[in-house]
Amino acid sequence: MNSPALSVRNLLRLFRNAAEPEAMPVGVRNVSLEIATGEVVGLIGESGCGKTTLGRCIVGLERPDSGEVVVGGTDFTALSGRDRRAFRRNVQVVFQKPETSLNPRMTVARFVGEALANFDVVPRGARRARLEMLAGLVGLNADALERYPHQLSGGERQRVAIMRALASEPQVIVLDEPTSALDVSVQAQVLRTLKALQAEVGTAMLFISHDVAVVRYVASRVLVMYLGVIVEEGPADAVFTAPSHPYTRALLAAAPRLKPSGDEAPPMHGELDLRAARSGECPVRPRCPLAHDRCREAPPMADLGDGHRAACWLADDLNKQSSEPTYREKTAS
Amino acid sequence: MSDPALFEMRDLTIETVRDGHRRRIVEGMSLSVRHGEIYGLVGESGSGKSISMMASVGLAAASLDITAGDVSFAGRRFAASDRRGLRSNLSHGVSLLFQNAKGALSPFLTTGAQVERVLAGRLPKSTCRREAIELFRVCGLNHADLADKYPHQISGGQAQRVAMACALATEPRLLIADEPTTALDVTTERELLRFLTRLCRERDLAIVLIAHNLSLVAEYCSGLTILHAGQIVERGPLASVFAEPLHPYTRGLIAAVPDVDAPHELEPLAGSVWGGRSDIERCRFSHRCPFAQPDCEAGVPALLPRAGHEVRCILYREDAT
Ligand SMILES: Nc1ncnc2c1ncn2[C@@H]1O[C@H](COP(=O)(O)OP(=O)(O)O)[C@@H](O)[C@H]1O
Ligand code: SF4
Ligand code: SF4
Ligand SMILES: [Mg+2]
Repeated sequence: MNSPALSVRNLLRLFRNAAEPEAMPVGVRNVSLEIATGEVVGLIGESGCGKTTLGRCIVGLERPDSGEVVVGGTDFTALSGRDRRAFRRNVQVVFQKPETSLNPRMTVARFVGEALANFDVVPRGARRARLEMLAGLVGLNADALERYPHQLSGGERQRVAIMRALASEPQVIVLDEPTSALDVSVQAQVLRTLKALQAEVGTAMLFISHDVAVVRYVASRVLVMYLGVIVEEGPADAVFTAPSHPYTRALLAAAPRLKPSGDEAPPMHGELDLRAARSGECPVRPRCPLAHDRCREAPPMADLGDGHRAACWLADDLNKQSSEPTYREKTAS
Repeated sequence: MSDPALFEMRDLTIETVRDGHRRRIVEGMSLSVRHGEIYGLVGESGSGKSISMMASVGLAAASLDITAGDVSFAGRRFAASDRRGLRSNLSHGVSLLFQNAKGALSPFLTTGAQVERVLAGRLPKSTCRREAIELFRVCGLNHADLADKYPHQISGGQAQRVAMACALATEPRLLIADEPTTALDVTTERELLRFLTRLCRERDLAIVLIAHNLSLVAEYCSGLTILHAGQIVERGPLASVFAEPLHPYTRGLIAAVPDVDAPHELEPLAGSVWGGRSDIERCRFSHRCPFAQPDCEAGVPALLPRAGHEVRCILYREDAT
């Protein structure tokens, strides 16, 4: 990999729950990751596991307690004031509900035009042409440029949010559940647009979603997060066909399917319970169907080859087991 | 199908004025649910799923005109326009469960008190507490202190279980569940639906599962109806519809669902549910349909039997080649 578009190093951002001082603080614990130019990386995990917090730290909406967010060679977290604001053009974000970021009193052209002007992306005279080019990129009709958000459908509004994110020519875009509020039909349109963008523009993307099927469609690499740590990561094909962490296996098995697979990877016990986790242990232990004595000590990341890694004492065995033809046939048929 | 239906909606039609025009937002909707079955109702948002089911229990908004139809439940029949009569079903065996349980629960009462309040409708006060604890247990709410918490102190999955405990407190025979798991993680979703499936088996509870997610219906339902723009476009036993989906809309919906096991290109559906001409009687999918032809706008196609289920599309007319 040549120098990555985004490199996150040992990012820490923890929240203590005042009501439960005993409980382990939640958030993001020492996460490191890299995304290359043109790469879409998926981030999956249950709600509350820290996905959004990680995304917010990357785009500068949240200050990490420690760690670095390096974009194009510059550590974003070290900047402040004007430099920090100017640097923002390099990292953009798209949220689940476009309503929260669009301005109801601005037409699409003004709203996106504002971003072009703020970051001085193109000379004033070239703005209109750029707007039309951006609209084309996200599959929006040029006449939508003169409309207000309430005159657009949910899918169109999400395209506008993506368009605005693209306007400043960022190196990285974080998309946090960008299609979760959309109908499958509209979701399919937006996902196709994102894929086409990846081919045309090459912006690095972190695609956060709890929907594993959606992530499988858009991402070439996947990170699986649990209670603030990455428990498994690797090329999407490897993680989806040979999941090697009990949590990943449970998460994939739980996804509803048009053709139910009959794959019965053992489910996690109960719900994500922040009170149950103990520091020093494997964070998954309280819910893990395969937990055993050794799990009272946190497992290291096992290297499974080709960048596929999993933090579980049993990762090698699980990897072999799930690469076996029987398991694959079951999940693929 | 000798077993008489527990719930039967026939020919429900709902009209309202929208964009200055009078429109039939639900037309000729019918639905039949047997004892103990989970029946799926599918379609994009705006297609009329929730309004139909709300109307069936007398809870359609006052601005909606219910111009035709009737609903039978457990042997009692009411005209669909008889909102009061239909609402009485809510205390005689029909319960509701919604997507956003946290919003539906009262913020001022502990979860235990909310369930007890519902129980007080049919039980002497002295036994409510005990019964509430039992319901919590049944719904998988095992933490002893959960009953003393307020809705904002619990997780989304727990809130959904509390809402379920409230819904079950009336001992329903039919549960109308409107996107009950849409806001939840897949892990919690699976647990809840497994739990509901078990209730159906053990207590003979029937469920109408309203979902925009076809995969959920594929996993848990025995039959389904697909609605588009207020009309049934296809319906039948699950196995038959999924083995041979016929309507272009059904096929479009299926092609738009990403597959976690075998990723494929997604084929998005063009257009929106209510687009197209409203001044003529036509196939209400014609403005989005890749197979549309002049005949499709000559009238509303009939719902006809084909391949073990029913479909509303001229491609499947008797005389179609
Ligand atoms: N500002 C905050 N104050 C306190 N706790 C927070 C704050 N922001 C997030 N959290 C907590 O951090 C955890 C991780 O949250 P989040 O990043 O939103 O997870 P996800 O996006 O995976 O659902 C959650 O338990 C959440 O409640
Ligand atoms: S280390 Fe132990 S507890 Fe942790 S995921 Fe692996 S088996 Fe489960
Ligand atoms: S009737 Fe015509 S327009 Fe309607 S679904 Fe069939 S082919 Fe398409
Ligand atoms: Mg989130």
